[in-house]
Amino acid sequence: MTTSAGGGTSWAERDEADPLALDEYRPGESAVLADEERWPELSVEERARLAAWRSHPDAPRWTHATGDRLRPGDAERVASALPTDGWLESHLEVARGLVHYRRLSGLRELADFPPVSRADLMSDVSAFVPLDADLSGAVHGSSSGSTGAALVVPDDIDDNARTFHTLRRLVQAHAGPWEPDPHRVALAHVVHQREAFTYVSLITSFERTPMMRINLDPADWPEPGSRGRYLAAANPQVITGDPMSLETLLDDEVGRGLAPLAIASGAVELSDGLRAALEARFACPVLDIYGLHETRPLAYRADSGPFRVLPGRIVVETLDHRGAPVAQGEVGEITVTVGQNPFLPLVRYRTGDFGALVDLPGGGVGIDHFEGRAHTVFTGPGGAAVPAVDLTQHLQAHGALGWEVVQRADGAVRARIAGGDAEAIRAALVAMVGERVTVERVATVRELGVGKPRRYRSEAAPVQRRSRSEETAKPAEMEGDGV
Amino acid sequence: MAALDPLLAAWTRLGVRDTDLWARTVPGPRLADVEARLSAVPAPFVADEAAPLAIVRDCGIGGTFAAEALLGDARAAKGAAIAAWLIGSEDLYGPLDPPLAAGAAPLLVDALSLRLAPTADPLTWIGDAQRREEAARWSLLALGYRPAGEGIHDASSLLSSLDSLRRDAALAAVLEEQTHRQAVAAKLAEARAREATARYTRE
Repeated sequence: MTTSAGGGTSWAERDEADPLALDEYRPGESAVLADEERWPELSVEERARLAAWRSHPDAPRWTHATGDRLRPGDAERVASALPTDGWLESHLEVARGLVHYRRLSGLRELADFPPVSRADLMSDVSAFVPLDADLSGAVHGSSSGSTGAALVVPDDIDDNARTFHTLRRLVQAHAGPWEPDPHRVALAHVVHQREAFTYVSLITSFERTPMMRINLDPADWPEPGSRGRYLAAANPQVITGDPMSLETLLDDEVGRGLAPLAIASGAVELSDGLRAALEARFACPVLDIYGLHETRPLAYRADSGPFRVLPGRIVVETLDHRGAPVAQGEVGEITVTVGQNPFLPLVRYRTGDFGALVDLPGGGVGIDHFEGRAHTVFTGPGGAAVPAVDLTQHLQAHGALGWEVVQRADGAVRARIAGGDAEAIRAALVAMVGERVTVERVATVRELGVGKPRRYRSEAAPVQRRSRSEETAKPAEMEGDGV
Repeated sequence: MAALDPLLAAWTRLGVRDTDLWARTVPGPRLADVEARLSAVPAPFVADEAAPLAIVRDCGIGGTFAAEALLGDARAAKGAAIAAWLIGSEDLYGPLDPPLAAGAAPLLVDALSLRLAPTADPLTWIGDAQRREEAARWSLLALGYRPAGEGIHDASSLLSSLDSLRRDAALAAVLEEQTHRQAVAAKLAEARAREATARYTRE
């Protein structure tokens, strides 16, 4: 797209002038399929619906295009949860044949399997993919990798589609019916970050109702006021995002036209304060969903109590550092066995997050004293807030395999990186958080520390949210402000 | 872990998994017809001084194949020449039904040179009944066929029971794993180039 932005500068021209622009987020860079492949059997009416949201006068810059690859005949299959009768036995039988386990003896039951971690998947993901898997149905899956290089795994088209229906069941349990509405967008997945994949899609298993992934960064929109008008026109039934992005909805210019049935937060911890503010502003349930890309949603909560483990092919354990189970009610590392993705049948996967298993009143397993997914905000020039995800994108783009980035109260930033182009990383960090950046390169991720340490820490307090348009409009101020 | 023969290592780098090969098979010629062609390989094709690449090209096999760089290995050279004979014999004796030449000929060359030749001497494919059947079954599989009258399950079981590689279980496991690793890596690279699917929540 080369639509002219409000100031008369095209998206392409602006990216050309932006020292932090990443190639993969240039509009269309990662979109290669035709709409007929994204949604086989697309009707004329559906095509028009898609075009209307893509080319709306207030539409944001779309960096990507993607669909769910389902045919209408697949809808019923993915709308139902996978059966759970006897699933664990079958799951373990598949696991015994995986390259990672097949030379091990004595793997009779779940507890016999040695726990595995993200590092195991990183080192050889194929050892966790069944030898006889029909990979023709696999699509590319990538976890954000906020603590290290992105983890690339084979995703399953059906499993991806089922996550929508998992969400739908949760929303219906807390907010009442969620049915396709021809006058509304079904779901808006919002982000607020420097660069993001954004697109309009159709949900085949929800009567091909539109959904969209949009970036609330003002720089992504044609002119002031576009965000609010576009969101009001879409009036999404459900809004999902991370807490930093959802917080933007509290801005009256953004959220005034919204009336969601429910809001779902993910990726990092949702504070009680933000939950209360969103509930009060939109008069709807606010769900906090816990899961990792490689595991899919695992648990959720609709209040400040324990997370409730979702029904389905999920077993949650809590382990100590030696891999032994801790007692019920005691805090241990959350370790999961999940059987949703046939290309990645995980057994006793250490999540790096911590919590205590508890019995919930009325039945069900809960995770209490949850500790993990802390989100960090850095302070840029002039007190601007810089979300950690912006740093992650550049650390990964310049080849770092792991890192630890710490900002002191006075704003100075020290980064330790394993692998990667230290000079390029330093330049990117300077552009985001100011001049006082030191980068130390270590040889291996292990030298950064074992386990899942907090890879980002900031003792500095931002005073405002940063926008890409503000950065590019005021380069001189950036340089002069320091931190 | 057992070390891989360089020919087998080259085969794993192709990332061609047996399961994927079987999944794409269609009914092919009769096994006996392929075995008959193997038993009639002309001596000059498998002579030590033969020029395998010239034979391959003379038999009408175009395109690139991984074994080309390894034809200095006598086992690969003979495997490639026998693969070429199977295709070229259709000009001499008439096409099989369906024709072998309609299949994936470059993969046939790679399968016989890199996968089968290091585990069973190519000369035995001509004179030893069991090895001939193994070579005939591998040839059909590489070309995208299964023997006439056999389903995928039966055909794959019969080839497994003959597979020379299975006599060394550890080596077979290493080969399977390395091939799988390549196949998964290739799939992920291809999938990345073909877009992910839409995501509904932040994970």
